[in-house]
Amino acid sequence: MSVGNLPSNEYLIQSYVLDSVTATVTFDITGLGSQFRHLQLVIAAKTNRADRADLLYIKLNNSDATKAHILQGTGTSVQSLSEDLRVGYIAGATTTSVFGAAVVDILDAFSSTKNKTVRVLSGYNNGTGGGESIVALGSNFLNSTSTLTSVVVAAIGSFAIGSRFSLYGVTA
Amino acid sequence: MALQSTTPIATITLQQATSAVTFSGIPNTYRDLVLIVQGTAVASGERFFYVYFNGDTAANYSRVEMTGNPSSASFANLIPITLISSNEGRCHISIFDYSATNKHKSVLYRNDALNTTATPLAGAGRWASNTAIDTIRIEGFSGAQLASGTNISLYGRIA
Repeated sequence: MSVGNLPSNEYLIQSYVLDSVTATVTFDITGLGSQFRHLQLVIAAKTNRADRADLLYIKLNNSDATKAHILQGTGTSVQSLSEDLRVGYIAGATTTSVFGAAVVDILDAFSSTKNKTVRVLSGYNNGTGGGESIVALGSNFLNSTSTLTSVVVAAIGSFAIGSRFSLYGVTA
Repeated sequence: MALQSTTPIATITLQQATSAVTFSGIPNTYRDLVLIVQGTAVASGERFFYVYFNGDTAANYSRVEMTGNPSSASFANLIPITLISSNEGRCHISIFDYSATNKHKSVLYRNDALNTTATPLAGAGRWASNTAIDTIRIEGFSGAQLASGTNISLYGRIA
């Protein structure tokens, strides 16, 4: 998958490009388990949060992740975090044309015997270091074996016009 | 079944060592680009290659990255590819909204070229330009050359 590999068995399910400020983006994936094994979500987005960055949250079946961890580089140090449910970063509102990006893999999304695992490569670059730009490898998991029916993308702020969210299905 | 999302645009397998490779005339029919470089460099030690868009070699690139052994983070210019001569390495670069004319171009990349000094790394980069990308050039830094057999592939991805 795109965090580490490029799948040739990947299909576009749905894509949103926002034409208005939007708090959350929801993908209804009910019934897709007969076609796909994994999901990949590509995000190129920024929010209206008055900061250089915003935190990225992925909610499965409309539930907060049970736990999330991040390994992040800020330009001056590498840090590991597990204190909240962020799984990555996108850009905030402080620079007009800067959009953050994230590639989110949701593994065995439709299994009814496995808890759900998410892994993310994300980041944004404001053109300066010292915490003004971040790259992060994140993961979270949902302590539930229920087949997924929805994926919700959220942040602290609302997503800005022009933000884009594309969901792909990956066959086994 | 939905549309297959990823299409090869061009693949180059080097028949001899070279210091630069260019993909030009990239169509604007996709949403994202994925560039994969898999192979080795000529000469020992880490060899660095940089990615340039539309022939722009000015100071319009920046990156932040983190590496493994030892754990470190850095902020610098240009989008890098690191290869070594002794073991095959692989760099995966995603370029988002490459044909947009109202966004700077965001890049995420991972690089795995391993020896006793080179380490896995992940980075986020940006080309500070609203111009649509139609040319990508990979160029060796300080005389670095891509070795014969290195494979460079460019894919387009719909959204």
